[in-house]
Amino acid sequence: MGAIVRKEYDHFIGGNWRKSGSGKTIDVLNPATGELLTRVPAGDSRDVDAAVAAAREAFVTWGKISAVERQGILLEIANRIQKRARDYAELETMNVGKPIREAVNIDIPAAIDHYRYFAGVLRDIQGLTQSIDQNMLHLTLREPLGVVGHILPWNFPLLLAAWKLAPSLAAGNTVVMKPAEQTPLTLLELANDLREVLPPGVLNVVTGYGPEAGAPLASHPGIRKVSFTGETTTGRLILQYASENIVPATMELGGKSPHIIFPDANVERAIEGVLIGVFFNQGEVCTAGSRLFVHDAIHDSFVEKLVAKVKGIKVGDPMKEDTQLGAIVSREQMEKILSYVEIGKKEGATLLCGGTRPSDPALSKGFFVNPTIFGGVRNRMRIAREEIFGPVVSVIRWNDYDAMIAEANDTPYGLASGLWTENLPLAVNTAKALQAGTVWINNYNSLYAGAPFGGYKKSGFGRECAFETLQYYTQTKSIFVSTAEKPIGLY
Amino acid sequence: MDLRFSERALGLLAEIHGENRSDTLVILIGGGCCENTAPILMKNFRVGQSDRLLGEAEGIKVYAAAEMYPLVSATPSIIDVTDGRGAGSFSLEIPRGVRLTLRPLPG
Repeated sequence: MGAIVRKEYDHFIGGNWRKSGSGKTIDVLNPATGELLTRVPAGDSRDVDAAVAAAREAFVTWGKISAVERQGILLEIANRIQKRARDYAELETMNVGKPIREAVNIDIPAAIDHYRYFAGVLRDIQGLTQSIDQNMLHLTLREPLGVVGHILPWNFPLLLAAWKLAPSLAAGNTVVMKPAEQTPLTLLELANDLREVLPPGVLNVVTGYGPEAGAPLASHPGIRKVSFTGETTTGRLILQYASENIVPATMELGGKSPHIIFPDANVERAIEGVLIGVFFNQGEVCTAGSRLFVHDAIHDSFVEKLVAKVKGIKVGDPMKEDTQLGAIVSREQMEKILSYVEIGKKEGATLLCGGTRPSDPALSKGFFVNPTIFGGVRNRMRIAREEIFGPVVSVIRWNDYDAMIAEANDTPYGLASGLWTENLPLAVNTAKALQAGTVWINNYNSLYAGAPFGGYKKSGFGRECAFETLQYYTQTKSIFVSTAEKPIGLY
Repeated sequence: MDLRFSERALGLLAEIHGENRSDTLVILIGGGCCENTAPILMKNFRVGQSDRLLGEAEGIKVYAAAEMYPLVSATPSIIDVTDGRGAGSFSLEIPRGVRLTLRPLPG
């Protein structure tokens, strides 16, 4: 079967489709055409209550099954996605607007890989033992938390669901996930595809708007952890809910990542890295290398080559195999990006290319923005400080190393960073100086199941994608075992 | 700072406030990730000590987070409403199919 979109979706709760209590729906659009793809429920607290109840019930048995069994199930999830990989890729492209080559080669394989990775490492969820003295043995168990609530963003729907779902299940938790209202389709399809793989209630998906479905989930007294990827203020709100329930949280928030070009950089590779850094997924990536620091000594020639390369980027129908830059996820997001272009011009930055919608009439109904470069940017400008979340890069000229590092770090965020140099000591020392959760040396936007991902500063806390992630989905039980045969003699 | 509200924004805020009489509503200018810099209208959000007051309308105070304050306070701006939903935020107007925006005043 191809990527057939159902006419209408319901929530997926307790192993089945379930109608929303609200009766209201949300239109899900194809951002490349503006056309209606399908409708999903605009869920509310009643649906969240039902989903949390189903997850709590499922946890009673799921939390106790053996590691071997959980491992088999995670591997089977990977296999199920693999079997329909092309469908998932097409559905993701239709719903998000990302080029099909990215969905096929990155989103879906990386999602599959996360289930396989966590299937493997879950066998290493272990405690410690110690002999306290002759009569006392102590051991720790890593136990699951219970129901985890996940609030997902719209840029990598199936992949970021995997980042959260795989470790949650690996550790023995059950989940309620709220995908972004714009891009819920692949996760709903996955939940349905896993009917025979997961016991009912282990994975529940509630669709809806943030204030109506997200807030009741994040604040629900039945959840034992909340994880959120999204905007900083909403992150603060969710943390306030978590503080009421005294539950842990994982936060992956914004970024405004510096991407640094040293004078000895391999220019050809670096230019490709810049493109991967800011035009991958239309720049709708929290790690986007949106502040490009280019050294004065090579600035003019580097920027000239960059502009020439960017002008050749193929913007178009995301379903076409040769499209390099697809559609922006929604009209609103497109408008916001274009408003930043105006802000940049007003601030005195030089628009070197892009900044407009494509003139191709075939794309006029979709939400497209040409790849955009601003030159002459100062780090204090709004386009260098605020996350645009679109295909826009701000080029900042530098020549003093210390001043450049200070500027690179002069942002509330600290999600990612990148640098290009052939000088190994310089590369490593710069990596140490950058206040960011990830540093890419002579590459950009590389991610790997097994490499921790997360932010410094206001980009959040907690780490995903890695072995340590399992710590965030388990809690420690300390068990003291007395082997004494006689009373201690205190009473 | 010079923070204004469009007629439509005032109407929307009054309407939402009217439906949530028992709650404290507040707007925080947020940023980051998929939402860019946007007014987030929230119910019972506890404003922090470092948040800075920007203005008030319809009994709803508008704050900026400390890191956003220098940016937004430097530009005379207007809080307005446009059609189309936001980018997945928890802002209270989103289910109505509209979203609050913060944009610089012309000129």
